[in-house]
Amino acid sequence: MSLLVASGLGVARGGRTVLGAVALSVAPGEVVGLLGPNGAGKTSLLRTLARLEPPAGGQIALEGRPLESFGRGELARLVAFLPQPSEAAWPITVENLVSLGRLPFRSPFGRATEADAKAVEDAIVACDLDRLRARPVTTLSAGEASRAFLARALAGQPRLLLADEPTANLDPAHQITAMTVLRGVAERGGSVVMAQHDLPLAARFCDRLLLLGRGRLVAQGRPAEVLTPDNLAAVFGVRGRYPDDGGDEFFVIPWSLVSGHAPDNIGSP
Amino acid sequence: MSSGRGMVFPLLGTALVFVFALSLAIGAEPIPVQRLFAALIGSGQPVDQLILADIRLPRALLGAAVGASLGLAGAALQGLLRNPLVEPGLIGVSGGASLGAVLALYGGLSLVSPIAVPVAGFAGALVATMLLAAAAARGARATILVLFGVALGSLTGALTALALNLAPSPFAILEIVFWLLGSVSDRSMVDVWLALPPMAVGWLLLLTAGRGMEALTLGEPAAQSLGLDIKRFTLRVILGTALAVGPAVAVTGTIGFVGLVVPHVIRPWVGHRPGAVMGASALGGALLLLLADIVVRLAPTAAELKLGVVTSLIGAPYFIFLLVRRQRGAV
Repeated sequence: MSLLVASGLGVARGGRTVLGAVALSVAPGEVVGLLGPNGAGKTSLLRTLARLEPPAGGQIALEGRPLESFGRGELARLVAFLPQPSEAAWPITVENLVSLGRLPFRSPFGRATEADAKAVEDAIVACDLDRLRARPVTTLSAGEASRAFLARALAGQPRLLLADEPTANLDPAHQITAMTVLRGVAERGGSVVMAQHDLPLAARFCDRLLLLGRGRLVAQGRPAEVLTPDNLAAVFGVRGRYPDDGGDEFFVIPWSLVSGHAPDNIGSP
Repeated sequence: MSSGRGMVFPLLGTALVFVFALSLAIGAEPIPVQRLFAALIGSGQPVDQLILADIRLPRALLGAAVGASLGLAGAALQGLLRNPLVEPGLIGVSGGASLGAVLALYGGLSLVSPIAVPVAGFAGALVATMLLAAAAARGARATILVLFGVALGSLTGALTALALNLAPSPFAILEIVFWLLGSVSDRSMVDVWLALPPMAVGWLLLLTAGRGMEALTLGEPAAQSLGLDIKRFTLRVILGTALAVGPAVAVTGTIGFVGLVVPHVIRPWVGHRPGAVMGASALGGALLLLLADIVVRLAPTAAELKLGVVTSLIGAPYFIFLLVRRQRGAV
């Protein structure tokens, strides 16, 4: 059974519909990438799936139940949302920041349990933060901070992780680490839906891609089915270079602009 | 450092008890410790008991309660807006309380009944609170609410100035200005009983908002995804602040800087966690105001200094010192 199913979904930003008639489903253990130019509605779609915005039409079901039927706490224990950019308002330590991911599991005024401590510890280790745990988050580099916020989302051990550009700001090594960590979530049976701008990373680490453009879902499927030269030209206005090294792993690098083609105009159908 | 953090609450609590006792002992007629204890358990000299019950106790209780309200409300608003520049006077409730009290003074109601001024002040705070709560209940964002509060504060400030402008006599002006400077002297237990119940409700609303404050550290979208109902939370914090601060201003006049400075001083002691900052700021605010009120009593000035003057005189330079020191890199 699918973990998350949306049908006929309309997505609004600031009261204006930016995406219409989106149909998608996410299975347990699946990593799904959302691709599309700036303004295509990736963030708005994630926000709608996280129930931060009401849908502008259509239905969303989580574990077979309508999304709106979940209680706040219940939903928070199942779904984690990792916004971008993430900033901490106060210079709390990395460890305290990661612990915030356990808030939905704490009884009012209850202290952290052993399960809480373990989840926080696992997240810290997975995101390579052990060395930084006592540092105030505000003193971290952008990349280090991104890892701390990712760890915060992981600490809730969500069934569904909705991540908005989780690899922005990361150096190549930590991009690979972050994507591997997200794959790890899927291997433990959770699901990940992430907005991604990095085509090679998306192609390599996502099971399935959703390509958004011109106010609708243009294509979805396995990376090789979605990242075709035609789709890249139509949605991003770029030509890609595909590997010719004979390896069987698919990826594509955006290489040049398609001449005479203006990139998609933002969100207008 | 983190091992020392657990000591913040016991240390502040102990200091508060000590300074509270000091506040009972010090004054025009100093009461030594043994006589203080005897009077407190009801077996002391009648004069001591009279001084304690009618003068010192209401003064110390109000000082502690008002200080706690200001510190707590300052920390709560700073946490809600994730902005360290906010202080409880900003949301317009203090302005409403001031205006109510000033109108009572202006109309000479203070001559009719000693509780006319605080009651009118409380009514003013209540009107301002209801306006704010109506805006919050309609789902206004926190920044919009504060702007609304600032506008409300300007309006009440202008009306207060108008009352001064049209005051019937120089004595009325003097009375109004002195009241506006803020003080806990010459207050009775009636003032305490008037202010304490609504304040306590405000404290309860704010002190139980700790988890929401922690979640908000991550910003509104992430806090919401952690299960926080932003609209209800905003309403709770605004109402709690109004209930804590409105009665405080109604009874004591405007006392500046406590709500701004105390959370700043406290924040590093509790690892900057906004939930813990609230409780510790309540204790710290009570402590600071009691200390300032002791300074007021000991200062060898012809007219007794007003508490609001002293808190700003101590608070402002210390705040500047703190900012300069932090600028130099000590976080």
